[in-house]
Order: sequence, then C-alpha cells, then structure tokens
Amino acid sequence: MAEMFKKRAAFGKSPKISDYRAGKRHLFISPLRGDIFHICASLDPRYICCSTHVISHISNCPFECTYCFLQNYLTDATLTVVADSNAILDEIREKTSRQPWRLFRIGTWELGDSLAVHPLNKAALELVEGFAGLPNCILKLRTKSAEVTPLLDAEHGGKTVVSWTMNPPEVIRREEIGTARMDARLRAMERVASAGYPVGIHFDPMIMFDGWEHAYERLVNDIFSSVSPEQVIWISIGSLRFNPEMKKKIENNYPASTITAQEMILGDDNKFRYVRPVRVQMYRHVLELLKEAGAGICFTYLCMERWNVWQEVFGRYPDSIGHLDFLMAESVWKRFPGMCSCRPRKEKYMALEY
Amino acid sequence: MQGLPFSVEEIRLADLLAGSQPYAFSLYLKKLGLWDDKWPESSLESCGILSPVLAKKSGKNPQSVHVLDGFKRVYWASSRGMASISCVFVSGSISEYEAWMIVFAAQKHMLCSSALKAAFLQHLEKSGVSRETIVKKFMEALELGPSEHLLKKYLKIAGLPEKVLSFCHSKGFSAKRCLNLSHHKKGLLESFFSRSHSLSLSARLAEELLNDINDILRREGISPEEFFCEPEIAKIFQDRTDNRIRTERLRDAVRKRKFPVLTSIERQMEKAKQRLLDERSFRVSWDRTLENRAINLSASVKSPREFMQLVRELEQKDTLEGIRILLSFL
Repeated sequence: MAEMFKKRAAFGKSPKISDYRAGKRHLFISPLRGDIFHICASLDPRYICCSTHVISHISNCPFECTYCFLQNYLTDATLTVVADSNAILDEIREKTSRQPWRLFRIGTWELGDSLAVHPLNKAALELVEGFAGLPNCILKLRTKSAEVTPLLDAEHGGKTVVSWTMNPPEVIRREEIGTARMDARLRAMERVASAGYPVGIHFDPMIMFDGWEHAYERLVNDIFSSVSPEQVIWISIGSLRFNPEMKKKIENNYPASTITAQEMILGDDNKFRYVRPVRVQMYRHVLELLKEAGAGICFTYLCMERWNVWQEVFGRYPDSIGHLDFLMAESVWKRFPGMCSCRPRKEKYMALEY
Repeated sequence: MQGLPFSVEEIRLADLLAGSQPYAFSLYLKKLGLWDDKWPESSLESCGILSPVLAKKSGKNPQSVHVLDGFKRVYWASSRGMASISCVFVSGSISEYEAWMIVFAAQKHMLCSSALKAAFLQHLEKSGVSRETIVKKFMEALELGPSEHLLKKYLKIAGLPEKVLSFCHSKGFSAKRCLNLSHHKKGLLESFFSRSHSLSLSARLAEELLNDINDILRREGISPEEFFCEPEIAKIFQDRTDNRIRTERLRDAVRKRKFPVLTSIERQMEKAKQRLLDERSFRVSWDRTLENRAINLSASVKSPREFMQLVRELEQKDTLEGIRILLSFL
C-alpha cells in the first residue's frame, strides 16, 4: 500500500480532520477496529426499507455530491478505508452463518462510494473474490465512478452486484461534483455486465428540476441501450431527502445549489422530502419508463417510503420490511439462481424483527 | 481586581467629544436605538449632573481622556452648551482588562439579551481584547461559560445587521434563535426587518417566514427587494390593517408560493370538507403534509342523545362521500 502512494504515504494515527472537504484530500488506511458489519443505519420501521446490510469500511468520499449526508455526519472526515479484507470477511462469515436460510445483501457504500478511491479498487477485489465463497451473501458495490478495470478479471463467482447511482447529466453536472460523467458510467456498466456481474441501478436520489421528465426518459433509454434488463438484478427508486441540519449545511457548502429550496415537507423521520404527490408523479414516471424499456422484469422497489406511496406507485405494497426482504430474495432466486444457496422461505423472512 | 485610586478633574467637553472613545459600548447601544435617555434626561433636567463621569487617561494629550461610564451625562451636558464636565479618573496604570471590566460593570444591566451579549463580545474583540481574556473572563462574567466555540457563535450573531440585532433584543430571542437568523443572507434580513414594524412576529414565525422566503428567492432567482415589491406582497404591506392580520396575509401568500402543490390540494380538500362534512357533531382533520393516509374524526358526546345524533350523521351518504373524497387526496 505504501508503495502505491510512494513518498506521500506516512505511517501513524488518523489525522482526525474535522473539515469535511479537507478530509477528502487525506487518505488513511486503517486496521479493523470493532464490528464493521451491521444493518443499514437508515432503516426506520415507520417506512418500508429494503433491510440491506452494510460493511462500513469506507468513510468519506473524494466526490462532492451537494446532497451527501456525510457533510453533516462525520466527526472525523479523514477519508478512511479499512484494508483488512480477511478480517472483514471473517466477521461477515461468522455473522451470516447464524442464519443460513437468509440471503444477505451487503453493501460497502454506507459512508462512502464503493469504487471512488481508484488505487484501492484492487482492495475491493479481495472482497469480491472473498464473497464468491460465502454461500448466502451478495456483495453490493455502489458507485458514481467509472473505474471498474480491476474488477473485470476477478473470480467473482456471480456473487457481486456492481451498481450505479443514476441521475441525468444535468444533475451530475450541478449536484454530483467530481463524479464520472453519465457516458463513462454507462460504459463502465457495460463492461462489468460483459464480465458477468449482475448490475444494480439506483434512481436515488431523484432530483426535481425543469425538464426532469425528459431528462429521466433519456437516462432510462441510455441505460437500457448499454445493458439488457436481464443483466439488471434490481432497481431502486427514491427521492432527495435530508434532515433540517443538512439543509443548512448544503446551503452553506453549496450556495449555488437550489435543491433544498423546492417544495418539500418534513416527514416523521425528520427528513425533508418532496411533497407526496410530486414524489408519486416522479416514481410513476420512472416506473412507466422502465416498463417501456422492457425492464419490468427487474425487481424494482422504493427506498424509504411508506406503504401508501408504494400503493400509489405499484398498486400494491409489501406487508413489512421482512416481506420486502423476502420478495427481493425470491426475485434473486428466480432470476439469478446461482446467487442463492437455498430457496427463500417467506415465513422465515416474515418472522424477522426490526 | 483590587480597589482603585481615584482623582477628580474638570475636563473640557470639546476634548472629550473630539477624541476617539474606545470604551464607548453605550454609543453602540445608541446606534441600535437601545439608549434609554428618558430617565436620565428628566433627572438631569431637574437635578443637573450629580456624579462625575468615570474616565481613564490614556496619554498626556487632553483628547486622550477615555470615558468608561457616563456618556449620557456627557451628551446631555454638551446639548445644554456646558463647557466642561467633572470626571473621576481611574488610575492610568489599570490594565485593558480592568478598564473593560469597569465598562462591563456599568453596562451589565443592559446586557440582558443574547443579542446584546453578542454585541458586547464583538465590541471587546474589535477593541483588541484578546480572545483568551474574552473567553476566560468576560464570557464567564456574562454567565455563558468559557467556550471558544460558543464565542464563535456569539460573534456570528453579532454580525447580524443592526436592525435584526435590535429586533432580536426586543423580542428576547435565545442565542439559538439568533443563530438561526444569522444563517440568512444580509440582504434578506435587511429587507425583511425593515418591514418588521408592520408585522406581528414571534421568534418562530419570523424564522418560518424567513426560511420560506429564502427558499422562494433561491428557487426563483429573485432578490429580496424584488420579492417584497411584487404587487401581491407590496399590497399586503400597503393595506391599512392590523399588524396581526397583515402578518397572517403575508404568511398565507408566502405559504402558497412555497408550497404550490400542497396548498392547491389543501384548498380542494377544504372545499370538499365544507360542502359535505362541516357543521356536523364531529370534527374532521388530516395530516397537512399529506404524508399519512388517514382521516381523523373526533367528537365529544355529552349525552346518549348526542351519541345517537352522531351515529346518524356518520351513517349519512354525505359523510361517506366526504370521507371518500378526502381520502382520494391522501
């Protein structure tokens, strides 16, 4: 690792940088300390959540998305990566083996982008290859970068989903500063799909702006010109959300951005969102576009929404968080059978407590 | 601080007023319109100056006499054409910290709000008192606790435009409320607070209006003055009416503009409610954010007769139709 960074590397403790932006310019390679594997911190029983699990081994991110919650979350903003992949894999193996019947979807993006620190993508490889040997786990890499070269020759065993947060170029330019352009993301998506990785697509956060309908239409068409729906394992849809403190942070850090000035209400989870009729209109629009693009076969779900929004968008809703967990596992079992070690049983998932 | 030796001298007012007055925090209060000159004026008019002004000599030059306490007497004497005023001098060797403590002791009764505490701390900082002294001595004396972080917050509050600080003081806003206001751009604060005399504002309402107007300005790319000069908004301020009514009208106009979808749906729901569900023995409400799909019905029943009346009304076709229509919006 030191060789990778040549003379700019130094051994020692984390510099503990409190400034969010300054922290992005310092990389700290950390040993594993404490537990790193847990359920997604956004899970809120008042909403229907996908109950994904996460490994929080990356903290902060070199990109500058105006809406990123990290600007109001990290006390130590030093870009940190836990490089001890074996220890991470041991912890996951130990915890997931207690529920062998369950399919664990495990993301590495909770506090940072999975592939944004390019020199460390080789380290991500260790996880990809490690997951190939975990029977009931799927690794979820989620990124806004296009640096996938190290992944292409990996022995992934079909157990890693590479996914992208997708927004129209207008949003990328204004709100996702420093991230890969849309065409680069699409090329990268094409490459990983050709290497046999299932692809995940996240229209989350969807952002409202003049002409959003056409922009998202072009986006969906572009995506499915690059990959076929058969290669897409799941699609999530969600809209911009942030807490009141974040609103101030965004306005201070990115005064030119107007994303916080839209018609939004404060939900029960203390997060601002677009008003429900607007969100439903956005979600329905994307859902319709997906159907037109032949992606109706992909498992599509809403992120951090209530049953009534699901009902309005899909005409149905999962009974519980456990039920959604089951539906996702069942979809994987049917469409990507090699990723599941056993057929998911509804009653087991429904009995899960959150 | 130990007991200080004093001497009394007659000093020319022209010299006092010609020189700089670095300890003149009360002049800042005068600028904010917080210089209460009623009681000293009447007292001075009837009895004259009974006690000398407290001052400090900072050099041999006659203009280097710096008043620590007694500016009102100085200004009153000057306005009455007096040539000189008696000054009690503290020792020239007292430290800056001690001099400022005397100023603090004289003004302490005025520093009753977060806004004025902030202004005083800023005055100290601008006068060259070290941060360490401010944090350790003056913040403690102001009962704020010795925190550099807190000092930064207070200095941010002190950076608010004078009209805003004065408003915050008059309303007794907490430091947190003041700090929330400091988040807004100066232009918006000045435009808003230059009209605040025509409004009836609580801290919460001022914050709500400023937040919503700020979002409108950013969303529509207009300036605060452009917003306030728009016919609909200007009319609200021109109409001769009670401040409370004007404030409600402004609030409605701002809300309609900030939440066009929400207010439009709300209007339709209210209409349906009025047509089908009003004047019944039960009340109907719903989540105004439209997030939760539920209609709440409530009623108080004082007798079995009233209960039967309620049941009959609940069973009416109009009730069902009203509930159906309201739920269709949620």
